[in-house]
Amino acid sequence: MRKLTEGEILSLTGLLKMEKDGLAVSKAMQALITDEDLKKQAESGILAMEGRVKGMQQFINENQVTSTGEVQ
Amino acid sequence: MTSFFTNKTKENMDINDEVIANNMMGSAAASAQAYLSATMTAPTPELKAMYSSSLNQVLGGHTAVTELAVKKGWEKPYHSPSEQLSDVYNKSKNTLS
Repeated sequence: MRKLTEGEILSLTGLLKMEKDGLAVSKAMQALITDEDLKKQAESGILAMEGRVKGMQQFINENQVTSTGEVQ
Repeated sequence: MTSFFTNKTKENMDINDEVIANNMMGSAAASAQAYLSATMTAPTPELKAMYSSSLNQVLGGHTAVTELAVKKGWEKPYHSPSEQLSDVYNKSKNTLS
């Protein structure tokens, strides 16, 4: 893969930050839901969010986007 | 412990399922816009592909919550705009105490 541009690194940073903060808020909000249908929807939303965070982490590790990647 | 905090939060705030659903739709719309602009500006194909699949996922989630909100009567998009405004206006009175 080609080296990411500075703009792409910044967009990846922003989106990862948005998703991780959103995930924390969603998990806290989940406890306040009483409606069963909305609860299920929130649960699947949280799973999807976790998947996206993991996807971005994997992308960063596999493509050595940061210098502090996982130990190979 | 979680239920203790839940009760404490509900004691202090007028938060219900409708508010949470609206918040979920708002944040989904914001993330969809963020993903769309990131997709459009990313020149690297691999990153573009990841962003665009995330955009589709967020869109799907937003659609599902919107459908639920319409079904539950939290959102009435087919009512007249003035009706919708007076509805929100009345609800906004309750948030100020």
